[in-house]
Amino acid sequence: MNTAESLIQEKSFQELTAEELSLVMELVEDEQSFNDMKRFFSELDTYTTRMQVEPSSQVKASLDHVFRAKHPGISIQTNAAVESAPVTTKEVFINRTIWFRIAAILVLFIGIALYFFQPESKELVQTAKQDTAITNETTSKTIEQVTEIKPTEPLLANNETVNPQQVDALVADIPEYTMVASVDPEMTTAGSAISNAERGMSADLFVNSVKDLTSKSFAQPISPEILFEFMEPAF
Amino acid sequence: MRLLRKEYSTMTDEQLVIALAGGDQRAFDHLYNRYARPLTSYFMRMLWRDREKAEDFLHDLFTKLIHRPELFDTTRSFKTWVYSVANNMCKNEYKKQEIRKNTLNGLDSSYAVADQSKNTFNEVHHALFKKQFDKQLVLLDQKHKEVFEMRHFDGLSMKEIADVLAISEGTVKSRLFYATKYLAEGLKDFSPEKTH
Repeated sequence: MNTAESLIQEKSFQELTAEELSLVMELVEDEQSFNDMKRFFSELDTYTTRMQVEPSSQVKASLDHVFRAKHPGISIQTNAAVESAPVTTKEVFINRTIWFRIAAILVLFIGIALYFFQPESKELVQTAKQDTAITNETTSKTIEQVTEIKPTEPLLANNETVNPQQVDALVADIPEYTMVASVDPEMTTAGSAISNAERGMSADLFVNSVKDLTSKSFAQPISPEILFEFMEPAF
Repeated sequence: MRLLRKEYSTMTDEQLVIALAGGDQRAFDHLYNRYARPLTSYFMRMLWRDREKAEDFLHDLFTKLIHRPELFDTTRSFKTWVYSVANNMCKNEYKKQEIRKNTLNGLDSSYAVADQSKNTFNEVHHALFKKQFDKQLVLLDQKHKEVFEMRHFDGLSMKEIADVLAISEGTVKSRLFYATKYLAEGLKDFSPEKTH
C-alpha cells in the first residue's frame, strides 16, 4: 500500500505522479517540506532501529521453565519430522456422534418401558378415581347429616341454666332416644369437642337415636347444645 | 499425506499460537523470537525506559500466553491482540504508579530507573537527534504520541493501531498526520550536517 509516508521515503519529489503528489500533499506543502520530511523519516528510521532493545536471556530461560512446567510430558524434538496434514476442522454432524447414538438408544428403551407399564398405570388411575368418588360421596352425606341436625331455635333462654343432675334424671324418661354417650369432664366447650372428634381423637360425646340408627350413619360427634335439642321433649 | 519437517518460520503467528497451546516448544521459541524485541522496546518506551520493568512485563505477557493460550481469539490477528494486551498492561501500570506517586510525597520513581545499560548514542549526530526528538515528543499529547510510536517504533499498520486502541482508522490517520507534521516541523532546523 502506497501511503504518503512510504512515498516520501521511497521516491524523490520529481518522481511522483499526479495521483501520488495529491496523496503526499496531505503531509507536505512543497518540495522543500517534502525533502525535510524525507530527512525526518530517514533519521527516525535510524533512531527506531537503535531504540530496539534485546531482552536478556534470563527472560527466555525463565519462560522455558514455565513452558516445561505447563507441558511436562512433551519433549522437545528440534528436528522431528511431523505429518504435514492440512489443518482442517472436520465437521461432524451431531447425529453422527457416538453420544448422540447412545442417547437415542436410551430414549428408545425408556419409551418401550413406559409403553409396557402403561396398562398398570391406567388401572391405578382408575382405582384412584373410584376412591375419590367414594370419598366425595361419603363426605357429601356427612355434610348433609350435619346440616340436618343443626338447631333451628335457641335451646335455652338467655337466663336459663342447665343442671346436669336434672338432665341425668330426665334422660331415663325419654322413650324415643337412647343415650350411649358420655361427657368428658375435661371438655369445656362444644367447639373443641367437635374439633377433637374431627381430628380422629376419642369421641367425647355421641348420641344415637332410633331415627339415626334406622336412617343414616350413627355415632356422630355432637356438641352439648345439640344434645339438648334432642332432649327437648323431656323438658 | 506426506511427511515433512515442520517449517516454523513460514508459519503464521496464529498457527504458532495454536501449536504452542498444544505444547510445541519450538512454536513458542519462534513466537518469542518474533515478538520479544519489539515488545521489550514497546514496554521500555511506555514504562519510562525502565528495562527491568520492561522485561518483567514481557515475561508476564508470555507467561499469560503459555498458561492461557485460549485468551487469544484465533479469528483476530495475533499482533493486534498482543499489542492490545501490552497496551492494557501499561495502562494498568500507569494507574498503579499514579496511586504510588500520590503516596510518595511527589517523588517520581521513574527518575532513578532510566536505562543506562546500553549507551549506544556515542555519535553526536544521533545523540542530538534523539535529544531534539524526545523534546518534541514530550510536547506532543498522549493520543498523538501513542499512534505515532506504534506506527514508527512498533511497525503497526493503521488498521492494526485502530484495532489495538479501539478507534477508527480515520482517527488513526488524522492523528498520525498531525503527529508527523508536528514532529517534522519541530526537527526542521535539525541538520545532520551541523553536527560534523
